[in-house]
Amino acid sequence: MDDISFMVEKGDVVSVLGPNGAGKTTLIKNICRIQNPDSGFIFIDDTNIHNYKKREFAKRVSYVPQQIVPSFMTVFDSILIGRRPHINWAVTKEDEDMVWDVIRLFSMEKLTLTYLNQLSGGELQKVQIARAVVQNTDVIILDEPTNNLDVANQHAMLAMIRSIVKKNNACAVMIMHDINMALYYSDKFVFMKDGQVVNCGDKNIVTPDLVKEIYGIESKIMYNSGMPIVVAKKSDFNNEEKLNEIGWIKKK
Amino acid sequence: MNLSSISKKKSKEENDERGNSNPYLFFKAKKKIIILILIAASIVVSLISLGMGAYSMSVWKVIETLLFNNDSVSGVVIWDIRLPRIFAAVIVGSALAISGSVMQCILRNPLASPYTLGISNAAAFGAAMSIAASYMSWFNETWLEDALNSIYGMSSFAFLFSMLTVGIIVILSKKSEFAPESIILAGVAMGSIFGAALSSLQYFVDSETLQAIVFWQFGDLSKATWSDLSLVLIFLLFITSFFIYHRLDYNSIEAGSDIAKSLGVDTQRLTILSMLFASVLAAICVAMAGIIGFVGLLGPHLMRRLIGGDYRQLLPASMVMGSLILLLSDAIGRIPFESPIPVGIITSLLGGPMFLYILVKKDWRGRK
Repeated sequence: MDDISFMVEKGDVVSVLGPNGAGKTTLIKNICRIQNPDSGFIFIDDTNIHNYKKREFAKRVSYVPQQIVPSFMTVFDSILIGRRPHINWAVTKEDEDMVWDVIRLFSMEKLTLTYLNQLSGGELQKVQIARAVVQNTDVIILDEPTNNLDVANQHAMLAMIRSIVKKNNACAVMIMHDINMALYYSDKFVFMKDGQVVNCGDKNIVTPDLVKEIYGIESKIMYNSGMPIVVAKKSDFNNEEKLNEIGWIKKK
Repeated sequence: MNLSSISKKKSKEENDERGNSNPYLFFKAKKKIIILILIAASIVVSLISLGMGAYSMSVWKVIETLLFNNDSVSGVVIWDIRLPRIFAAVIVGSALAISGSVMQCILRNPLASPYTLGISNAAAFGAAMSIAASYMSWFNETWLEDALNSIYGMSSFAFLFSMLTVGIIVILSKKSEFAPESIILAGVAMGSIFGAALSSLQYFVDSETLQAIVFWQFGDLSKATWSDLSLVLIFLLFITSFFIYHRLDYNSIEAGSDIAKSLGVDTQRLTILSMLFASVLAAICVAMAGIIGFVGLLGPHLMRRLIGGDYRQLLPASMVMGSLILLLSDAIGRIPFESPIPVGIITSLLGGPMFLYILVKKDWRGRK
């Protein structure tokens, strides 16, 4: 990955978009110090992230990974882990109260004492995001936050992330695949391809040409009460020709 | 930040409303009660066990002897013979169980324990070397032979070889950045190498030495003396405090290593140190009591089912469960008191089927 450079300001929700294998996850893992860049620097408030102590850094940046590891822990205890950077010796009442508040924020009261390995994929995803919220950081990094969620929950989750970011004057960087969801809920966009940033900026940079360059498909932009919607052309996904060319037919 | 101030306000307002009906408080209390019940059970089993044997005593007589240390026959029997054995069961049981539960966490594998990682085999080989060197007079020095046949000599050898194993495992798995799978595979390989080495050692020594090695290998608590116990106890206290200090880090690792890293946990350092310390504990236990299987697996797994996988409670609870298992097994083994069965045989004999039962009842992730 090279030639990556962009800036995120306080109060911004930023979507990182691009085809599979474009280096989106590598980028955000570098931002969270889960991986280290071979060269180049990442700054938060003019301080190189590698100059922070591990615990101090964890107080500023939280991370929601793509994969979910279910374990033998209750939802409450699992969200409580997010307080780890703030806990010196023992968990305090304040930590537990914060977990309660976030559980209510995400309407998961009924699941409080359920073990993670008994939850559905969508519920697990909510627990992950709740854990990052309870970490109470200035920057939240999310790897496909809408994974495993149904349409209603996708909207609810992204709206919640946006509200939290705006209210706390924090910022969120999230990897998105649904370009329209991204248009709906974010302020800035970073388009990546082959390990490079192709373009970044606000809504206005999203054009049929950019979509063609990034994903290689024809599209047009329509407007629904002022909101842009990217619609792909149907003909791009007609594979009859390819099937005929390879001769793939169901064997009888 | 804003969120914390909001939370403070809210929690004050709604504290009364939630009151004692807070399900989480109830859940925490339940865990504590379970642990207390297990501690009580361990004490009861110890008292009964103290009265068992050729010189049989009632529980009241045992309590009386413990409280008023008189120099009668019962005093000698209890203080010099039976009590060290009880303490050995408690110390070894808790040491094996806590090292098992820590290894299961850092390697994210339900089957990890000192035995699956070859550490017990390596320690057993080391201790057997020490016995062989002593019995066969390899050095022709009486003091050295005595030293080699003591807990210090055997522990040192057991420690040396288990550290060798850990070192090799660490070097081998360094390439894969300490991925749990590669650590376990390396451990299995090292275990089989040292198993073979132990067999060949047994093959080449004379019959008297062979008898000593085999008898020691059975896993027996009766050899423990007060001075052996104090040595193991020091290690147990130090290492347990390390594990308990990192209990929240183990919780974060349970959620996935990327999350642990993003929460500020130095996962590589913690993995290596935990492996090292868990191995040291296992090696010393093997040196003192021989090979005692299944406690490191059964203790943590039973407790995960009873109180869940939160390491804040799981670590102490596993220790209590490990002690209880060893106390019970030891008591059962001593029922035929003319020829007591070594505890290692009982734990494997009863622990194996019990473990299978748990696995059949629910799969280990807790689904029915």
